[in-house]
Amino acid sequence: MTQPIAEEELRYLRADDASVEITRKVRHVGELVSPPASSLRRRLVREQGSERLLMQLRMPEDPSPRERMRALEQLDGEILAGVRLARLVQRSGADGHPAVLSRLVGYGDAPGNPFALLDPYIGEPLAALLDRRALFEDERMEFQRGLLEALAWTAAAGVVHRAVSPATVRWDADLRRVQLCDFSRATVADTPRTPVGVKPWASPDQRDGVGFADPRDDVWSAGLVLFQALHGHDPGAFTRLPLSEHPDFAERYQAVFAGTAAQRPTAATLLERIAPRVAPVRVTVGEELAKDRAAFRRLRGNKLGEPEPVAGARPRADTVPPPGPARSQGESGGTSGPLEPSPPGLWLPIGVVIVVLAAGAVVAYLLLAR
Amino acid sequence: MTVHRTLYERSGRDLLGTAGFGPVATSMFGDAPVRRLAEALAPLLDTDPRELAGLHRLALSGDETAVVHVDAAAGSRTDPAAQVLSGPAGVVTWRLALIQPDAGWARLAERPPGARRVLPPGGSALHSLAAAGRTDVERRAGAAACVERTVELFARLLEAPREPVLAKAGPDPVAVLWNLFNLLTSLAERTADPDPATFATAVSPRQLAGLGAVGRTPRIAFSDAAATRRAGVRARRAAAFVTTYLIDHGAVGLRGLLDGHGVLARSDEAARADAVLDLWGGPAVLGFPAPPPAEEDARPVTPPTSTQCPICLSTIGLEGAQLFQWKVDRYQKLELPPNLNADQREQQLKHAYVQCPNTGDQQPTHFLPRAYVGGDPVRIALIGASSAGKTHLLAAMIGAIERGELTSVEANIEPLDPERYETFLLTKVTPLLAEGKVLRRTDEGKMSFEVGLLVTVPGHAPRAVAFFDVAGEELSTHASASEKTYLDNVDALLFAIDPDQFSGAALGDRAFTTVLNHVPKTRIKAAALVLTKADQLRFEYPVDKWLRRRAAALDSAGILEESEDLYAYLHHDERARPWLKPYAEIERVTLHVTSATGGAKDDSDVYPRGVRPQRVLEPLIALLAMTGVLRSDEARRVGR
Repeated sequence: MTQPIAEEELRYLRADDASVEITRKVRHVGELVSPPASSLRRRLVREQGSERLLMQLRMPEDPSPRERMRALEQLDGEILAGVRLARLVQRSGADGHPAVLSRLVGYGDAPGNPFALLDPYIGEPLAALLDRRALFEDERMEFQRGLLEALAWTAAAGVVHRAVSPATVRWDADLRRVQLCDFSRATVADTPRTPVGVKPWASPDQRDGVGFADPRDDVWSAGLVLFQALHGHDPGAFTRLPLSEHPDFAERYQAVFAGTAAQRPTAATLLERIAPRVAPVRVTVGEELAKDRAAFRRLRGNKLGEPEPVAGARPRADTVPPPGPARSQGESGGTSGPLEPSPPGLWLPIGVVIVVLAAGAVVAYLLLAR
Repeated sequence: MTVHRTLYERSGRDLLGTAGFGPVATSMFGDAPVRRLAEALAPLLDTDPRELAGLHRLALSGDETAVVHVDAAAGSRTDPAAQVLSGPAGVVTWRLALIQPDAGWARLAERPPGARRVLPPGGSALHSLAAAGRTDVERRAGAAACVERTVELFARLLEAPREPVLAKAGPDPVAVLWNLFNLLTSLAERTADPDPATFATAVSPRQLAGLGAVGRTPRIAFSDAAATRRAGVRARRAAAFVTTYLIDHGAVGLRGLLDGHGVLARSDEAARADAVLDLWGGPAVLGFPAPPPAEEDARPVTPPTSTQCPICLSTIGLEGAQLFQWKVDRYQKLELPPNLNADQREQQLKHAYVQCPNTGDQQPTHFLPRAYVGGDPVRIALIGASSAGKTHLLAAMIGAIERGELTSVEANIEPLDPERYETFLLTKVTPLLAEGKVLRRTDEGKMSFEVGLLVTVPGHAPRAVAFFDVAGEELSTHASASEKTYLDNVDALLFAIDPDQFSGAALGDRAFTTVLNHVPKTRIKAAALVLTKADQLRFEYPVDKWLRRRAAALDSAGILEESEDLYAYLHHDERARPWLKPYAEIERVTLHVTSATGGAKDDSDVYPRGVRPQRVLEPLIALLAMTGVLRSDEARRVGR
């Protein structure tokens, strides 16, 4: 880290509400080392007024056209994931941003000077930690729980991280917290895969770039991270993981290394397995549009001469299954929650009838009593 | 009255004591009814059985009807078996006949070896497989070839409602009959004396003459010997609309349509047919244009000698017109050598152009392919404020076509007028895509022809697709008479939704309102609501998802999904909601997320991300499907 070098005024949109534009002066605190695969520069800045520290991701100086495109894609991934997560967290009513995920504060989208502002990461990359020591016994459960909770959030947001590895998973030994960071490779679930990532961390279908991006692509990668974190083996050193030597892990994380995403458990299922008391994520991306979708279906039904739209008649390809086991789905309204209109208000007319009848009975009683 | 079954086979001695092809087993008692049935069916069954394979429904005496199924596969080709279901017309219905699958007929033909007496078909035997059969025939009835054949024949029925139809058997005659009788019974709803739904899927001239002699000519009969006849354009337009409506909405929906338009208030079928022709036979129909004639109807007659120019609406005459050819970069007069044979002459004419007289002189000089003359053009107006990104979108669309990206639809696309197409490439496409330049905005209050395509779907006549740019805010006051005439003749609209315009005080794009108030809604076949500059919203759900998707093929479900997503997104934002007005006002509308450039320009009018159009072909594909240029079953479902 170097000494402060300059001040500048940043205009940025809030991640949780892009209609709010904020202008703040920031003081440069220093440059951070970027991960090897990153094309983005990282700078630590202090926001004047609030005096909070922020991490600014920005374009490299004088990039080649190729570097520029790569950096823009990475910045888009970071902002895309950050925006989806910030809004999902806001709608969930959670008490603050989950510490298990890095947090996008805002972003600047001016064509010539795009940037992202994040809360500084916590802890250190798992890779760096494992160079010194293994996870302590009493850290292991929290590490597993935190990483799976992070993936449950990303799945609910319809985000696929695509680069979960010991370099992007951090551990803060003081806070005893894990944090999933660096969403620069992230994409949207249910969009066509492109070949991203390398062995062993990226799943086979993600490496091949076939089919559609699935949050369970990250489950493969997280399985390897957990295997290394818990047992100290570098997955890259094996052609086949020695799971038979670790039957507990093999049982707990059964099927996480299945060949296709569809065969793997979701992060929420795994979380339920290892920490059933953790509250599941109860919101999914797009739920806020349910009434607007109903308006569309109603209008379309009118055009087609249908008296009422058939709710849920067409399965939604983009619907990300809510994380969590059936229990959590049931409690949150199940899969019908985000997309179908609310059940028709039958109780209102019934209630009116009951009230009218009751009032009539009272009046009759009073008349008779006279 | 009971339904009976009678089985026919070749034998040495049948139930009536004669040799040859005759009744060998029946559920009827006594010889008399068998004899009556045999006599009634004699014109059909007393001939060479090899001519018979097929399905027939004939009127018997009184209220009785017989369905005859001849299965060539039951015996050898020379020895087919036939089975007859006879009984009340209300039980032995045309529906029952047409939906009975092969397994159903096979079950009805079962009998113990040598038995001369069989049980009458119970309800289970008649209907057990009917449900599956109905699903199957309804599915087949919606196939493109079947719909086209239905249109041809229904057009003839509309022109002459009382005349029996005799035509060559086309593809899947059973499914075609299913459509035709659904159409006819809908048209005959509540009439006192509806025509009997009788038919024969394969008859010889001799059989037909025999049936005619005893007054049993089927209403619709297919025969290889039938002469080719083709209904007029008016009838084909009306038939195309009504048939498409039937396929999309079913018979119940169709009856609702006919009732709603007062057709069923007319007393008889002839008057109702006239009403259908009046309502949907004109050129401005809300539906599909009539399909081109099938091969059998392609008469070697004089081709049309004039057509309307899709660019300037002038009438172009072919008679004695000077022909041109496009050579490198200009049109040159084409003189056909007199010694060409017919094939050579045809080959030369295929690539010839004629000059439009450009009546009114509102457009620069332009030419049209001679092959297009007589075609049914589609005019698409791009509506939106002058800064909405219409020009960029159209340039990116044409650029994508030039790059060969329109592979998801089976169609050949060529320039309509190569000279103007080249100009468009040079002034719009190349500056945007190759040089990353910002294109000039459309002039306020102007409507101008931009570019034209000639789209040919295999097996169909080429269609001209012409794009006009309309900056409509001031159109209502600034437009010339000819520009207003253009609007009156537009077939489809592409509304460009500019997210830059969303604001709390906005009432929507004034251009949208101006055009919606002006264009005749009944003429507009379709509209696409296109969110331009979607890159500005690339972090917003669900825009972020659609910008990352690529359409692999024409996919009506995918288009519907995108439409619902985008509608919900815009509807959720009160500032954007006014831009959805066209969806409510036009019947077939799709919504699309596009970005012509892939990113915004910076202060020096440069696109720092380069120009990378995203999803610009999707609205074009949807419009081609909704205007009937693309003709598959999948295309028919788009926008509904």
